[in-house]
Amino acid sequence: MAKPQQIQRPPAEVQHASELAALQKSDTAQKPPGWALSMLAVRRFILGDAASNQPAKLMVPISMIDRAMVTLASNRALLLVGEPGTAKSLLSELLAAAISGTSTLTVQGGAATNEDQIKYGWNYALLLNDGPSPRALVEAPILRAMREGKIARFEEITRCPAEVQDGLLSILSERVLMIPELTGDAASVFAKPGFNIIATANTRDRGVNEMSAALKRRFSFETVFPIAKLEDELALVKRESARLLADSGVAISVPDDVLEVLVSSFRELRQGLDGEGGGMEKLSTVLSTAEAVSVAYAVGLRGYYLRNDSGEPGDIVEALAGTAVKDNSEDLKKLRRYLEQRVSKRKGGAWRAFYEARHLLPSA
Amino acid sequence: MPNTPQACVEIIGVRHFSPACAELVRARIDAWQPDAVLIEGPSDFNARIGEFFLGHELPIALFCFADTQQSYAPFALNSPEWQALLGANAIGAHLEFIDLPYWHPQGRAHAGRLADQQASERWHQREELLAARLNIEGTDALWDHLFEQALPQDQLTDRLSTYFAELRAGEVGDLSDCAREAWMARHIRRSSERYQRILVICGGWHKPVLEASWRTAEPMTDAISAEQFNFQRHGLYLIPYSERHLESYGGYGAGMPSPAFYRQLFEFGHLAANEFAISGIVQRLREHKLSISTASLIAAQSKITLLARLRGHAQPMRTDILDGLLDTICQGDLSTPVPWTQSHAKLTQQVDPNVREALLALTGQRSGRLSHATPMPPLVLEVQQLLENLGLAGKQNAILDRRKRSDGEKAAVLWRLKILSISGVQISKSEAPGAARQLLPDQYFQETWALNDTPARQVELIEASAWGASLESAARAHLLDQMQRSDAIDVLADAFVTAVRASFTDLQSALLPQISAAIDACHLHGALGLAGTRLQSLARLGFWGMECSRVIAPILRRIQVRLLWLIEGLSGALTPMEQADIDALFYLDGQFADVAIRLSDAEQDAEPHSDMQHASAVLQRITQFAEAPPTLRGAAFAVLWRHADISEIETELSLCARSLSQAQALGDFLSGLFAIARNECVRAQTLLRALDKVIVHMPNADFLAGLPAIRQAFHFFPPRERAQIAKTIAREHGDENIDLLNLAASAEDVARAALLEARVRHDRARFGL
Repeated sequence: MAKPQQIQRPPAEVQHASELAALQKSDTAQKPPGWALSMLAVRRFILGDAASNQPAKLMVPISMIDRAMVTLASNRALLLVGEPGTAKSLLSELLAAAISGTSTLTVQGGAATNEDQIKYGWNYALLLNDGPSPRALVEAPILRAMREGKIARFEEITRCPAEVQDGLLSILSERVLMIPELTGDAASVFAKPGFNIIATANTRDRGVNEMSAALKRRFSFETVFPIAKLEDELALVKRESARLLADSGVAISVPDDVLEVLVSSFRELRQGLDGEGGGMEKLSTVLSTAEAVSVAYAVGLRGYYLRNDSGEPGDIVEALAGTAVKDNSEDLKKLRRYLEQRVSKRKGGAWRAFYEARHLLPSA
Repeated sequence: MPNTPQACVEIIGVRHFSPACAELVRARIDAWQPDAVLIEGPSDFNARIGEFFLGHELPIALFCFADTQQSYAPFALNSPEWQALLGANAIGAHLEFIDLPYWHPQGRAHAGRLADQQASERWHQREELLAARLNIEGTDALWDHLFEQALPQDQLTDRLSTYFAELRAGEVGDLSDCAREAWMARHIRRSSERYQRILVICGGWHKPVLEASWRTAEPMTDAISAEQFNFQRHGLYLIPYSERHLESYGGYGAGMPSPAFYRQLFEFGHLAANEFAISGIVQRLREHKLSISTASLIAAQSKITLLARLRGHAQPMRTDILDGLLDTICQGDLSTPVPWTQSHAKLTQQVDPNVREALLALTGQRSGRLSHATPMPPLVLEVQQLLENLGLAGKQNAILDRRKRSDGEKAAVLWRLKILSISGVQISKSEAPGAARQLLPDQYFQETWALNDTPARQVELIEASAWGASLESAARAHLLDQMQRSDAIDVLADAFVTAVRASFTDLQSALLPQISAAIDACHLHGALGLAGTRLQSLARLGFWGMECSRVIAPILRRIQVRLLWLIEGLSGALTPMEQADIDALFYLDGQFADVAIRLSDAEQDAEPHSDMQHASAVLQRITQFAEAPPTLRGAAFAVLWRHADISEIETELSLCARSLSQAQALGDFLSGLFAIARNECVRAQTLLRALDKVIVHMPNADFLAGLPAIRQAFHFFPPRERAQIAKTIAREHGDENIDLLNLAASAEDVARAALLEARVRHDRARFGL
């Protein structure tokens, strides 16, 4: 196993190796076949444990984790859907690490994904030399997961072409993968207990490569929502942005009132409801918590390097224009309207400064 | 100090409608055979407590009222209180309600105090904390987990005591809690001197306090009566109730969710209830054409079992079933989190439609029915009397003039009956003979009613009395309920007008959240403008002696904020004319006019003034926004011209008109402008000259393409004004003596032309052109 400090971002099973080992040791409850931990231990791993002062690794509802685990123990695969930046991938990584001890059997979906990448390919030198043989077979993550009885992850499944997606049909229903080039026992790989798939999909990608009804039926959908409470989200943005700033050697943290303006305006633009409950239009651009963290980070960096302070509300406007609104002119207009019609009425220094900085938005 | 009583008093703290508590109470009465059973319920009903045993179909409710306030104490089969009533009656024990009478002012003096709100927050926090510690989401799931599983009785009793003691945690409670608990303690104390074994059934929240206090309480005396408080009316009646009203998702705070499910659970146990839930949900969804395959049901079934096991339930509980079925119910992603994972959730319009249907399947459709021997609720008698007093009884029709006070009273009664859907009360038309043309139909004063006294009326009135004790309160409650079930702004505006016609001018506080939500959810600026204009005219003129402006003002303000938001987002420089743009700006024009009047009345209110400044800033941005739809832009100019103090606006306007490259866009722009600022435009020399210049220099092909739009714009002027404009233009071109109002043709020619046109119209219609 690689040493954690030599990797930029160690996978969950490495990062939390000691915690997983401790859980495994103390785990007395019954485990579903092929699982490394019992469901109770998996739940404790992800949601933390108040008794032993272990914080939650993710802010997700308990009932969702329950449903997800039960799905994974059944004969259906799990599909996590939601807006981008709602920590679907992190959830899938944590689940896989806790259940199978590995989260690296991953297929990254995309327009260029082909069947070789989810099932198997060939080592052509050996193939020419020996002919089709188990030795020449190059196993893709899903085949390995089947053989070893582990959880495979399929990221952004709806970004794959439909014919590649449908390659999963027989794997998910019959739990067997045929290798017609081989003969005898090697020609069919039966999934061991413990095998299942966690796929993730963006609601924003809907319609890009719509899943077929047959495949949909083999998945249980679980919708992941943005964090429900303002305080939770504010705390998370504060913690994460401070960590990022510290990591890049910037010894400041963004002031609380600036962060509050940032997180509240993100939430309002995301939900299409202003703080007084008035209606607005949602932005079509993603305004996830992850995006808020990166904007907060950018605000801190700007303040530190450009003016030698710790960031001010005006920076949010510029960061929003650059990172969040990107090149969508409709959203830019909505954002301007939000500043002109809603923020203009707010009291409080940080809100005023936010409003005053509206000229920093690029003109449409 | 009175002697310490010797009697044995046992207090069971319950949650209303909890099947486990109901079963506990039933079993305890059977096993212990108490001499007296005391129940938390209004003690002024004690003399009539026998009415419960006349053979009703549940659910029913004990309906209490005092003047304008009212409350319900519902009873379902799975109410512990109902089981206590039945059990005590069966063994012949003394039966008594021990709570404060509803008319007692202290019983209703709750809430309002900051300390009380904080206390209930603390209580919710403790619940949430416990749920989090047990890895459970939502307080309903917590209750099920702790109490509704099959438990031995002594264990259940212990758990209930601990739970409620922890929840109460020594809190004093609000004013009404204190008063009611003192009253109940005194009742218990009195009974303890008369009976040996006493069983008390009360809400779990009160149990810790009652247990600590009854021994030292002053025994109850019958010294106090309602007459001391000078009520105009007060009383209690049994009324039929329905499962829909019992649902906590529907807004009944003390209820449990899914009443039908818990009824099944009480009556037939876990297995049957779970079967009922699954088959009920699947059936209902299949009726709504959702395909649910057998395979997915099998998968759901195994999921339910696994979830129950994971959560440590011997039998799947309600949330296990719903969680297990979620994937089958939804078959895709959700728009909002599901209600059963949240504490104190409501089943709103935002909940995913399939999830909503699934939950409604568990609500149940049972309605209660009272036995014939039950005394009639006051509403029935009141309506009879009202109709007789107003001379409407036995009449076939009535023509009422809302300008007369006496007719207004009659109309209000008829409208209220109509709100309650009492058959045989129909309005056939409303009109305003001889009134000014601008009067909106909402303010028509003459109503024609068709009346017909059907035998169904009495039954309907008994059912309607579930809404209130008097016609006024019942109609009010029913109207509010109807409004709560719609989020379309035009429907709500309709309902509002109905409320005004039924002489409810004080619905504001109850309605405001609902209407505000509808306004915020509305994306159609035209519909919003139209609804706003209706309400505006009600606010401005009132309704024949009824003042409405104070009630409507906050709504108008909200509409304005929303409209400004919506119209600033519109774009499309080539969008053809939309009536919606004009409707929206027409409303804003009215708002400016109203504020101007109010400010000139020297009402020194800064808020409307700054609102209008904000509005005029938005409109100015629209006029300068080249991508705005031309009609909207023109209309925005019109409003600014009429109300905002902007110098050189006519010049600016002329420049804008000249900058519109396409003739069609120019026409649409003018439509918006003329529709609102007709008077200003007739006299506007600069504008007319600029327009003339634009049109003179327009290439012929362009002019012809834009002609229909331009013609349409000038239709906003009546012929005389159009002639005046034409004269101004003709004078510009050197023609002084133009006569446009007299046709240079004989009357015969005109008649022939009219005939020809009529024939063409006829032929066009015939050939469908």
